[in-house]
Amino acid sequence: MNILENKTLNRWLTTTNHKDVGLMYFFATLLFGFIGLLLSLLIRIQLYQPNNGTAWLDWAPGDDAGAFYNSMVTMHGAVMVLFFVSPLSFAFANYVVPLQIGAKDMAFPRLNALSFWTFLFGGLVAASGFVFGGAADVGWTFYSPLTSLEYSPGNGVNLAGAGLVLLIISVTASTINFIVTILYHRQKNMDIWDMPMFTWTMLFTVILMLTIFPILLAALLMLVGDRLFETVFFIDENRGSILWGHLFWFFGHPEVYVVLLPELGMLAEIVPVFARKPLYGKRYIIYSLIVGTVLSVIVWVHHMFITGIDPLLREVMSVTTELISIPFAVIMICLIATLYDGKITFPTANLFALGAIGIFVIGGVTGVFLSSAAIDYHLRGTYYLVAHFHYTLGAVTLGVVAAVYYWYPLMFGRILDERLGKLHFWGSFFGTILTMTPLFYLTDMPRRIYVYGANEHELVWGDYHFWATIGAFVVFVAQLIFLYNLIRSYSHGREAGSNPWNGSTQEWGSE
Amino acid sequence: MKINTIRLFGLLAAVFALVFSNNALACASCIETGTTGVHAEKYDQLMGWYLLIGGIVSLLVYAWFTWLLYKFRASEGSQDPEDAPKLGEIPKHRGDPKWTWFVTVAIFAILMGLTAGTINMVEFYENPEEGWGDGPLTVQVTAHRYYWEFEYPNGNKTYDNLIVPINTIVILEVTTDDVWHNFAVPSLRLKIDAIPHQTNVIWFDAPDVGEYPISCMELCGSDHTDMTGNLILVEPEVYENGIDEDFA
Amino acid sequence: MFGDVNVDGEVHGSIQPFLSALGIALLLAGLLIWPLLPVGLVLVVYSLWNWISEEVNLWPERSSITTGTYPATVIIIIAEALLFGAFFVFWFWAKWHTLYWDSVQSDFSEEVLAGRSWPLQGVDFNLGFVAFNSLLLFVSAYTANQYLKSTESSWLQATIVLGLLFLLGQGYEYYNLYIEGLDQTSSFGTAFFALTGIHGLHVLIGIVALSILFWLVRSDNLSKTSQLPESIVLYWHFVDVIWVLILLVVYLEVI
Ligand SMILES: [Cu+2]
Repeated sequence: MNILENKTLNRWLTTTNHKDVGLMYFFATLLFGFIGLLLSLLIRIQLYQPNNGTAWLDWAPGDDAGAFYNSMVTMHGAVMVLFFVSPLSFAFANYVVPLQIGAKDMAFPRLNALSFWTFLFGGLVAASGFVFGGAADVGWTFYSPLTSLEYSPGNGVNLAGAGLVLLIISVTASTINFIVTILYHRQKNMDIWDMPMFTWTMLFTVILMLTIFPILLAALLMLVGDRLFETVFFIDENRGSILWGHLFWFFGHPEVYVVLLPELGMLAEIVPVFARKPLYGKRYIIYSLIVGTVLSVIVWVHHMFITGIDPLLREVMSVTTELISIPFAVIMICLIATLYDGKITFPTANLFALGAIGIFVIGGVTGVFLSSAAIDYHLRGTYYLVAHFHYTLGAVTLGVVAAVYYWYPLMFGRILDERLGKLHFWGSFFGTILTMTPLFYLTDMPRRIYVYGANEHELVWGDYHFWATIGAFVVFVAQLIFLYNLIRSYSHGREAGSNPWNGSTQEWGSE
Repeated sequence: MKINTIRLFGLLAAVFALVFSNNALACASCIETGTTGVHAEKYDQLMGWYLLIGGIVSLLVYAWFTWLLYKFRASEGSQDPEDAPKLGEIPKHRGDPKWTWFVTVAIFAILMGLTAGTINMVEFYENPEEGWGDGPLTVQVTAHRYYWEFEYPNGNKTYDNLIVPINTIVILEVTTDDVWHNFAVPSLRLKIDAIPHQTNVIWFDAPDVGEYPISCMELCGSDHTDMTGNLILVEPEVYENGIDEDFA
Repeated sequence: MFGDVNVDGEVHGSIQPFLSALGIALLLAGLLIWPLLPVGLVLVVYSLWNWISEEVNLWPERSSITTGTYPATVIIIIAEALLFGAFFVFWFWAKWHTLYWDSVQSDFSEEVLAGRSWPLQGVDFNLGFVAFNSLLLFVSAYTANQYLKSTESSWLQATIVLGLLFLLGQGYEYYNLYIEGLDQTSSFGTAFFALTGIHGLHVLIGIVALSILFWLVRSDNLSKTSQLPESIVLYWHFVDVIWVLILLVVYLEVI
């Protein structure tokens, strides 16, 4: 039993401290992030020219190029959204929120450790399909009846389902922990309106999670029942595909706000510090968050505009979807207005934050287009949609990386190297734009196809994909620089002191 | 000084890149060739409004954002503002409700204007009576892994290629034999899901003879990529002759 | 930098969260690779047992046990209510499709239609028995409340026994329905077993929680300020309320 006596291992396996848990989240999400990034790079390589050969895809388990490509697309989406961006926010939430509100730890420290471990195992189980005969290849939306035993006999869907169930356990435990911590464990003199913005957004994030993840759990239980226990939830006679669509998107749409809200909180922490001015309109931002959270659960049908559902429902959900852009526009404008009268400095953390705002504007505006039930008739399922949500999620990722630069000194005592950081920022920023902008042009190209170029017109798509692939490589190289920076600065970075950025929130004075 | 120059160039490059991508979204569907039909016409009009307003709003935001970044950048020797964040102090409330209300109401008004156009267009997609041509001609579309089956009123069938006359209201009744597919003809701005045990209806009416690609736009399995076809629009006489000889 | 201290300045590390998570992962993997199932189950039970025993010793120092347990339970109940909501949605969805959609959709074969009726043909609920069984659950709600008032642990005992009897009764009902030909391969069967089965699972969870409470009371390990009793009783009432809804929707078909 030598391994259990190993002090380091024992310490990390048994820790329940919120800072430790935050750090473990941090490292695990970086791992998943790189898996997702590598998958995206492979996808981009396959698409870089028309009529690209698929020989390398055939090496994959199952000898089926299409299935392997589909599993890459599926796992890229699932890993990036569920196991990278969102948990990376939780890494900071675990580390920072208790410090910001003067709590000694999370309310239930052990439950918090359980959250992390179930999350880690969930990610590993979901991704393990690549090793065990093929990961899920049905798209991250898991549309029925493609997921049924008849059409997906392999274990990939089962493993992804098991991974997601573990994730839901993790998320539910986190929800309990954060709500109780934020509402009951604030230091005595902290009024709820005095809470820092990041804590506020985490509160809304977990409330939203509490609303949607049980529905995903129910949907997954039904799916598992159909696949393993001969139940008939999603059979054709019950129009199982529409039922799945409603259940999944009731979860799936608010999930993007679950990803977005913590990032808005981070921006609301970072921008004021580097603009040297208080956040503009903190209260309006909080009201907007309330409105946005409520609206986000009544817009899901915009993912089902062309499934043949009632036109009235489509029109109503078009309106709610367009309305939801208002609170988020208000938040963005408040963030930008914070700069007014300030004294703005541009360390890497701020560059990433400002870059995130810049990118998000385009993601948001194209989102308004897609909210229209009429425009969906043309743009749904095309690369235009792909470009749109990569602009929003790209902005979210830039914002979360801003938080890495901002809170790294808090977590590791040193400042990330600024020169490498700037290279990383410009690479990520221009790389994202270069990757995703050309895809806006491909309004007639279906998503998730791995060969194109059958006719003259399709050959033109190649020009756009070529530049997108170049952009993806730029992003990738930038992230390698980031990785190097993270490792190097751990030992060689400038000593940070207790409050390197002159922040006002309490985590900076905590030790 | 040198650092500041680099910074300025960085700012300019970033703004340029964002405006460039703004232009790209404003160019939605501009590389497409061979559009035809009454839907494309109306659709492009509506999309034009969305693009125009979206473009103007985002450019205004970028202009304002850039100006703020330039105007209020830290310069040598400049002092922190009085209300700069200080550790342990809760920042004073900042902000003017009238701006928030202005933004909210302005966006709301713009959105409702656009939504009116959207609702109009949704109704249009629902009503084949809006077409001008003969007909209607009803074709049953059934999706299979991985091909399209078209059944014409006289019982004839074609596969992957849908052959119909121009200047005719064509009603497609779309369903699937296995998994969820999606029937799309981008050139005509048509798209509808093919869902098991459900028939979805979409219609079109197009005046130009030609071939227009059909794609499946919902992931349906490992050969989803190959699920393509053509909408072949022909003169009515050709259609009458051809259908009789079963030219599939 | 790294946090070494925990609540009230002491290190309270524990391997149990890791082991529980591993156990749950193995349990799920066991659905695919059967031999892993017992391993996972043993690991989950073992680690949760140790977790609770360790936790008991920490309680005097934990403030969350006096302020956090009740809100945490409320949150869990909200999540569970939504979970049940989704299964109720399926009930109405399948019912509507059987009674209405089937008739507008002409492409069903006779064979398919024959297997679709709502409730399933040939299946009759024994409403008298169900009423008796429900009564057990309702009485157990009363005894649980009495426990809160009197803190006599015998009331807890009664609650646990009534809960177990209810589960037995449900097993008996399942057995009879199965003989009548109701299984999970029809829409009605799936909807019925999903709703009542998941409810039964929650009764079981409630019984486990009550048993732990009982053990804590008996071994004098329950601190006076703990919110555990009212939390667990609240959960028990929630399970009751869900049963009332199931009675109304599934058995009495008021909607
Ligand atoms: Cu298809």
